[in-house]
Amino acid sequence: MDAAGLSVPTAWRSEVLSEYVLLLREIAVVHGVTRRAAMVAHPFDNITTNRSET
Amino acid sequence: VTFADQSIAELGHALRAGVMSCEELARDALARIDRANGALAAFVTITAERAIEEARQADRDFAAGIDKGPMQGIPYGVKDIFDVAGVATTCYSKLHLHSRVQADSAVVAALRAAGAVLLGKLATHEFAFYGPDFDLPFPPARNPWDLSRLTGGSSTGSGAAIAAGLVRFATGSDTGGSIRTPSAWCGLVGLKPTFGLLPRRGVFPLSWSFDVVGPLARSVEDCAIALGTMAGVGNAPGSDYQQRLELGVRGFRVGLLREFLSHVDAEVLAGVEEVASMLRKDGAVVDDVVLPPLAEYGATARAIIFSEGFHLHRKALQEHLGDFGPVNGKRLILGAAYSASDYIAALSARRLLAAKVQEALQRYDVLLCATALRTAPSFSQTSASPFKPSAPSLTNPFNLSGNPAMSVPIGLDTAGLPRGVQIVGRLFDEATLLRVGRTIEKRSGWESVAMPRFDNPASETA
Repeated sequence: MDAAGLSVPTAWRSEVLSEYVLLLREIAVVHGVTRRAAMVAHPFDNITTNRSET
Repeated sequence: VTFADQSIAELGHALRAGVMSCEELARDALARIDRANGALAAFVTITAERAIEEARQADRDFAAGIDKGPMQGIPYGVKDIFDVAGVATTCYSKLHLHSRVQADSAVVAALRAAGAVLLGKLATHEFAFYGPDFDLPFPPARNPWDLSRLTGGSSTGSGAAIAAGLVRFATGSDTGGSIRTPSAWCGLVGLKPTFGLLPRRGVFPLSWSFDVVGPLARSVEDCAIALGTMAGVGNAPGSDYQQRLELGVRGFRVGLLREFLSHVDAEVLAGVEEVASMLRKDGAVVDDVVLPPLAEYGATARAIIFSEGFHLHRKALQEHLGDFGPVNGKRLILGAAYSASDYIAALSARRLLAAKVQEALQRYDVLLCATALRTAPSFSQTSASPFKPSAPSLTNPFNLSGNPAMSVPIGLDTAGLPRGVQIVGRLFDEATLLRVGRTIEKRSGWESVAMPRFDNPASETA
């Protein structure tokens, strides 16, 4: 939060911290899904770029 | 005379038959708002002057033989994140109290072009994010079914105003469930359209890749008319969204998302089962269908919404954090915790999770689950953290996937509060969603449920 230039009021810190801990667990869930998503082709994967044309 | 219980189509017939004028209808609605709004806090700004001007124009058009379609002369309200020319878009925030707005948002302009009559601007959670919060410039809207309870958000005033009979429809926005949750808790029909169907110009954003705008309404037919007008296809009588409403569900395939229901309250769960059973009786095939775990949808949706929301509000959060309501401010700053890598991972995860919804909808015409875990909670109950695994959102998977999703009321629980189910359709197939919704509305008996009334001062204390 400090790195983002935010000055979080003291009264908020405990609640924000407890949600932050839960948020970190969720980020792990997202990266878990991403490991599966890596095997799904992106639509752009089929586009070949001819650099000589650009 | 009150017109609160007449549908948009019935009001249209009455206006065309000369039973009343558009101005009389507008004045009746304004008087009802005047009587009820103190208790409900549904409207934050009442645009009486514009309402009378638009109503008189609609009357002049009828007199001149100009018929702009089903919305001509029909009163409505807009969530206070939609721009209305000459009126501040407050977003319920201290930071936007004095915003200067030059032009109508695209949706309001479409409704004006169709002859609809704007009564005013409706309550929301601050910046259409989290609430309720009593530390804002305006009080939170209250649920007409029980004033000690939440309407659901963030389209709070839209839910309260329609349920109390002040308008037949209103605009809302839906980033994670903000149309569907108040619809479920207030006994309304609320449709989150396909991402991109309706224009967002002039609507204050929260998350650019999730935000959509759409209608909340008293009935499926009202919702179909409102959607058609907002999409700019409703000016001709019998637009696509209304044409197939009464055709039923025989031969339809319905996918029941049973695994999404594990945290749902028993009475809401029973309602979903009843709907599955009534659809079977009407000739639909209902099978269980499995999507990836709800926790994956929720985590991915929040990573994107919180990141995009933080990016949008970053400067204000850095310079004026104390001017945000605490409920919202605490959540918005959490967006700073996601790294660029996390956000990109979430975008990647989104593709996989959204593809699973589309795969299911290749086999099924619609998906069925609950809209909310339970009926409307009271203001005294602390709202659960959105990150808490035991309180997952049933709505945000379909913001993530972009599919149209609708909440339809099905009856009351034992406490007398509305229950709703959620149906999800194929991309840009709102017409099928409305058709299934109409079947549920008819078969559930919802149409015979008496709505709360705020027509006279005595009823407000009843």
